[in-house]
Amino acid sequence: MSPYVSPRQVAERRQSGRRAAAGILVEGCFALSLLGLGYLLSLLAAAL
Amino acid sequence: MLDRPRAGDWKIVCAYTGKALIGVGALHALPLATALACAEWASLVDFLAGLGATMAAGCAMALLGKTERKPSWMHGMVTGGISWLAVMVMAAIPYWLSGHYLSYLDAMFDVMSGFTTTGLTLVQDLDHLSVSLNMWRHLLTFVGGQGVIVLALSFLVKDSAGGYKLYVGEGKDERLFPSVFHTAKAIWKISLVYLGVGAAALWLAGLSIGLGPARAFLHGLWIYMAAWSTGGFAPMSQNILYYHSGLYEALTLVFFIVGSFNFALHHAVWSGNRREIYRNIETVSFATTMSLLALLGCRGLQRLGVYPDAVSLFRKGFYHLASAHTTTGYMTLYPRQLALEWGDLALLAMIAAMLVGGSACSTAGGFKGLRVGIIWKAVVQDTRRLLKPSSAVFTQGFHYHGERSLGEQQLRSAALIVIMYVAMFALIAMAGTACGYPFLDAAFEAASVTGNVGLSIGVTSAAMPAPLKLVYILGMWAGRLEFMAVLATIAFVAAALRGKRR
Amino acid sequence: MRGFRLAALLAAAACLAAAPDAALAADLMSPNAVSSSQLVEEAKRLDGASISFEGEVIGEAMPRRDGAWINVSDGAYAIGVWLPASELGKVRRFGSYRWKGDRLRVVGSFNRACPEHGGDLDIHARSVEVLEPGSPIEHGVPRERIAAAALLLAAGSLSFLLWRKRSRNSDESRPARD
Repeated sequence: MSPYVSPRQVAERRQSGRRAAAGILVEGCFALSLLGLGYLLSLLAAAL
Repeated sequence: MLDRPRAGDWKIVCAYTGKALIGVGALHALPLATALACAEWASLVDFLAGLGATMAAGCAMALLGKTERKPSWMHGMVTGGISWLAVMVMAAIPYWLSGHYLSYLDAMFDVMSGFTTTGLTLVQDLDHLSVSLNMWRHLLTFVGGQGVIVLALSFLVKDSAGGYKLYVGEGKDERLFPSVFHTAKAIWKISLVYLGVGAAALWLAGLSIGLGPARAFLHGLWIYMAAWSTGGFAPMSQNILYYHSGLYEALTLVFFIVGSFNFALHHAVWSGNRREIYRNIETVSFATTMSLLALLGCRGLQRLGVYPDAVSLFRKGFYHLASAHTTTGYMTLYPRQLALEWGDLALLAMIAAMLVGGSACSTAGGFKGLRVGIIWKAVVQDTRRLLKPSSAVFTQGFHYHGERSLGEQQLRSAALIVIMYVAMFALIAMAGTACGYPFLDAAFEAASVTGNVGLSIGVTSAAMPAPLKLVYILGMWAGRLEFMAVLATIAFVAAALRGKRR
Repeated sequence: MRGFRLAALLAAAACLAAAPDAALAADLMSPNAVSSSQLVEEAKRLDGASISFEGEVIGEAMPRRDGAWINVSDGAYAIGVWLPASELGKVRRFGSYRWKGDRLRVVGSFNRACPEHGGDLDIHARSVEVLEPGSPIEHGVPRERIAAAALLLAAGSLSFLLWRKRSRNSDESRPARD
């Protein structure tokens, strides 16, 4: 493979990197929201 | 019955099993490098022995089985089954040589437990284990989560149609890309990127809770590897309790929850389809069952006054329920505390959580959310049919990377696998009870084995009867491969022993 | 003179009469010596009790904001011990692959589910005493093992080279993969 990397490839890699970062953030937030839900449920159970 | 397998069939299975062993042999490089870096000479010798033996066995099998024939579905399944057993035998060498296991069976138990990302362990004196051996334990878990076949596919298997059949044999069937090689590579890319992010986060957390920089890094790396693969191994005997840190627990929670997601989901979200995360039947199913079981479990704990406040209820109750449901197996309690303090209701919630499990095509075990979701939808559909006029025609739908309709074949497969899981759970629970353990304890441990969870109520120990260790090993194996590969292997071997000649 | 002797006699009698009660009182305040198995198995009974626990300190100390954690193992279980920072200096060697850690006696109160530490089973130590300092652990390699490893490595390398050669030969004769 030629070592030359076209600007289009660079742009593609950057976009893929950004999407991956966004993906990690979204999944992390989903997990954190489950944690939050769990904490609320613990509060509820403790109060009952 | 099946025709008796011919030499050609054995050759294919042998060749691909050999390649899986070669892959595992190559993995020895990491603990070897670690032993060198840490000047752990005894351990270095152990790993050199393991490397030599595994490579010799793998190359011999690959050479013996050399054939131009392409694998069929049967070969894919049988290879999936047999290669995991072969890896279990060979990868146990460094464990046994270290002197931290009371028998070779115990060493094989830990390999199977690591590879299947279960997390039950029979290791002795974990707190004095060498750095390189801890590296091996956690590496096996991480790689096992991806799948040994996926590992081999990434590098060693050249035929793509056959490759897919091997991939399915290992219990995955999601095609992220048309090419199974691309799929395998994509799975690795996702795992490695997350590894970087996760290990860094845990390293920083480790520093903040008082670990030294080197230990914080190693522990962070290992804990991450076991969390992502929903394995449950940790470098200290107290598991996550060693750290006495809410921050560490919270991070492990996030990583093992994300780790329990379907690889296809990661791929979809990373490709820009971010809505999939809350529309997907598996995440919805997981969030629903997690909440219900958490409520049930915490209610059970609260009724007995086990924990003094909401924070403790969260850090002990919710944490272990989530650890069970994602089939991770991390604990911040001593196993016996579950038996002595938790009470039946909370333990039943745990058993249910362990059996239901995580997502399909992920590192998690259990029935899987997709099947639970499908079966639930089918129940809804049948109820509707019963209540509405018989002339109405309903197609029940569900969202799984796009809208799909619920077909009879899908439902049948889902239901059959769930039935097999339940049957295996019952058999393993009976085996435990037959060995003299109290029923609830035996059932809890059986659920942990069946779902590849790793939480223990105290049954798993080196003092366990050897037949029970064997039963657990087979259970972990069958559960991880989702039965098909195991049944195919048994049928293959049975046919070899008594099938009719063609 | 007689009055003095009588007083001394009476005082002695009073002391003798009081002695058993004093011993009892002393018992109630002195910590029970317990093992880790007892702490786990009898956690409910021992909850809140003053105890003394002996074992090897493992891993490392984890200093936090208002104290520090160490984990002490007696072979059965390792138990978390929350120490005041002032006591931490006494502990030098921690158990690991290379070292046997200091053998400690920890005296403090036991919690089955500590409200201060998220429900953890722990000991809040009042004092820590080093009974025996740590020592290095030897990991020798027997010669037979080195020989066996060398043999296996040789076998592995040979088969690997053979396999690579055969694979390359067959690759050259097969068309390129899709």
